[in-house]
Amino acid sequence: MDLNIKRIGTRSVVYVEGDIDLYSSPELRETVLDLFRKRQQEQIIVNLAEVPYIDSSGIASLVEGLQEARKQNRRFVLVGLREGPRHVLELTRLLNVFEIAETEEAVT
Amino acid sequence: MAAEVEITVASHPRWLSLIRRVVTEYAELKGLDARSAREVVLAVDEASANVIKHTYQGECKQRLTVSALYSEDAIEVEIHDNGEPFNPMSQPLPSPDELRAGGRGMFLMQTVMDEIEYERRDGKNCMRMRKRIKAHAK
Repeated sequence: MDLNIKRIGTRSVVYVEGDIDLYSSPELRETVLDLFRKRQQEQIIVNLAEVPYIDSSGIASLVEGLQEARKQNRRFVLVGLREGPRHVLELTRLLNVFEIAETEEAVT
Repeated sequence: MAAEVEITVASHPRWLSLIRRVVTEYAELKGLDARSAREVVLAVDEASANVIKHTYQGECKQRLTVSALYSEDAIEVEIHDNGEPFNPMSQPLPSPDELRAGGRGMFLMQTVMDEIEYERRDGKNCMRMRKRIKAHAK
């Protein structure tokens, strides 16, 4: 898994590429939580357009991001969900819990 | 189970992707539809990750074996390890509706597979999972 972070105006975007599993999820978790700690932008967006697979440890990392967002009253948005990760979010009943957008442009 | 495919890896999370690749390829060769194949791969990955995290507690030099067989409209998968007795099904299952970070692995496995059983056999832990699928065998 590769991570790339871009700061665009009032938002930070984390671009994730590759599978998110027990091996890679700790890095995603740290990156997301670090953004909440160090950057004061209004929105944190995780772009998952290049993520074909996510397991429960990856979901756990995203849930921690959401928890932090709620604590800090900031927005945490997932964009570009592919069929596999969308299916896992559905199965875990989290699809309607996260703020989800098709593309970054669709995030207002 | 007379498996058609078997893979043994060291108990390091970096090898989970290899297990997923083997199971994906096997499911494809057997003609499983994409959704069913994805669900079987997810269950195998979660079960293997459980072994690494809980049974071996991060000890990376142990071994775990995944074997699979598709026959009679069902796929059967077994995950074996040499660790101390550990039955993941005896752990309390948190409610999936609770917004907590962890604990969704077993819930996912139980959701996507039709049968899951744990057995201690010949000094090994064995998780056996079964999913009924109508495949278009190739």
